[in-house]
Amino acid sequence: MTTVTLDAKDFKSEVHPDWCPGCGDFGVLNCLQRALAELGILQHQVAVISGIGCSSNLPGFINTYGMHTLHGRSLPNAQGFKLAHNDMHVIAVGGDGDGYGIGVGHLVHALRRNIDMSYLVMNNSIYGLTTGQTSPTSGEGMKTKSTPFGNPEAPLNPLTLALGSGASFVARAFSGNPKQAIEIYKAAIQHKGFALVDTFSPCVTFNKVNTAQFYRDNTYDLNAEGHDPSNLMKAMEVASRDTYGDRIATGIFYQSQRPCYEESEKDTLSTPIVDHILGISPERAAELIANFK
Amino acid sequence: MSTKQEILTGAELIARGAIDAGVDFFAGYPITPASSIYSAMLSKLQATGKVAIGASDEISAIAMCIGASMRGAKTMTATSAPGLCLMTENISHAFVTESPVLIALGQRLGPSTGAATQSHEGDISFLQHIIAGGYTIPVIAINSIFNSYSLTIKAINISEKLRTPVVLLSEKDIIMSATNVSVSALEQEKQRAVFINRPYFNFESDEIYKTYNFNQINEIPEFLAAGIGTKHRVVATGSLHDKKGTLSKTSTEALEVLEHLNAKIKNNFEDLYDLDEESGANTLIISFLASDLSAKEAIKKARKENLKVSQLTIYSLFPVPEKIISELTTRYQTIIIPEVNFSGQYADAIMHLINKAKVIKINSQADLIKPERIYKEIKNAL
Repeated sequence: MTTVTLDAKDFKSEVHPDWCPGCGDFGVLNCLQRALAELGILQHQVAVISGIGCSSNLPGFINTYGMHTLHGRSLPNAQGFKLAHNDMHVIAVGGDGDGYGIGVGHLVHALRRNIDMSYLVMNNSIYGLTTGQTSPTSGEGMKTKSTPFGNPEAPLNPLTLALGSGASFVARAFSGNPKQAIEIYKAAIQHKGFALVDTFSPCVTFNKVNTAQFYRDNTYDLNAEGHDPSNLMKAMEVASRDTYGDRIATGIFYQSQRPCYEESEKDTLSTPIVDHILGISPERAAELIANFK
Repeated sequence: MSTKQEILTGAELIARGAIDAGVDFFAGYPITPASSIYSAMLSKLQATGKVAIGASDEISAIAMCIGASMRGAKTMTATSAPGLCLMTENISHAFVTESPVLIALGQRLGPSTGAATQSHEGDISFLQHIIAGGYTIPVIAINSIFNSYSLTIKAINISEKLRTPVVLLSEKDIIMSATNVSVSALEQEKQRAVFINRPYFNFESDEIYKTYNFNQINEIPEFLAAGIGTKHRVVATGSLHDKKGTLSKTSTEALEVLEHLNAKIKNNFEDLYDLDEESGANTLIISFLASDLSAKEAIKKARKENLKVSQLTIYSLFPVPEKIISELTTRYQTIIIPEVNFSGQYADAIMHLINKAKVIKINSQADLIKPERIYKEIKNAL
């Protein structure tokens, strides 16, 4: 057996990202590439599946299998993909509008279904590709193109939503803290079950509130403060208290070992569907096919 | 007369037309190029204390409009083809529940996500057949930035008058492009405009209210907003129903309601078009959307050189203005139809009305049609 040593640049595609200079998504891409390299996962063992939005262009920039699907529909595509090829690492990616707005229904069901895959949300609290409208995580009172008099709606809390929907892995990273982000991404990819990682990925062009400096000034590492990720109630408490405002927790909030979907469906899913052997001989199959010609 | 000019986009003029026509509820979801309408509507409506909301997706956006329409609001949403695909089920719902809703559609290059900032007039066939069951909803096509204003008002009027969803069809090149507009010319448009509301039921009447009532098959049911007065119950459904709105699968009345949905539009719709006929011309250009402007440029050049040519500009693409098309096309030898899609979608939709004349389709993908191409065909036809 030969051992291959990979580094981040092995996961670079030939396409240069079309993101604005300074976009947080560069950090997320880089951290994901480094996490995969450090885990020793080969390029062909990974599928990165996205929706629509600036961040959803990521599959084009990473040297793995990739699917750029429809707006809000990355998770159903990714889950179908995973069920047909459960020997692969499936990573769904996208933005907060894609995952917490139009696709939030899919997210809730993916969390409780607990298929073995990861979901990295690049959260910038704005619609960037459509040039700056309020997103589900925009703060109350925030002025955007779609809320010229200030956002009257309360922002969604993705972490408490996930914890309340049966999530088995919930974490939060910040693209400006790559050391921590890489460790979180590695843990998410290795987790047996659906892993949600919300990542602050600031939009330098359309969000002047949730900036990189804002997160540098206001985030803390909850694992460094001795948080126990096996305690659901404690995770709920921290996620609920330290998500908005001036003290924001990052790190692994919660991780449980409940069986993932594939483990509960062992009989059918222990072998990838594409590798299933038909219950008839190849000769008989050829005969049957000939009948339809 | 004032010579004051304003620099305006089609999106801005659509929003102005909508506000002047009385739209008081807008729900949308960001999508290029229709976001320009979404932004204009949000800032304008919210500034006047009316309802404008960014929905969590296109499905929610139009569903919110239908709910508001049932409460009596004049409603509108804006989207492009990917959003239209999501709205399709709800557009059918609005059609069957006879809920007025304006869907401002800014076309872009498809299919699927396609290219959000490339020109296209490619949603025509889709719109013709958008209602399952083979029904037609009105589709009003905008041919210039300036006309965006008055055609929006007309589209809203049709939606109200006929109690139906209406598609206001535009494209990236009209809604996102800006031009100078004479303030007094726009004011004149406003003075000329009429503003129509749906027929209302007298909420104090002792007559039993039926949501979908009609005596003649093509009559528009009188509207009573849910929550007005205390005498009458309003029930709406997208399932097959009788005149009262009670579920009914095969009753004679339910089938009559279906027939009515078709007849009310077919028999009450007034075709919208402009005809510029030149005597002695053997060539007719049928044009719409931004391609109409390319045609106008070509005609200007041709006429300078004494080449004779006529033009029919169609605003109401659907229902197809059959009468004028069949009448005109018998008098011309050559019909030229320019449109920005690869197959000539509208040409195909009206081909059965053209008997003897030779039809020349001029098509392009991802870019507007150059007037030069149309001019060449006018010259070749002689």
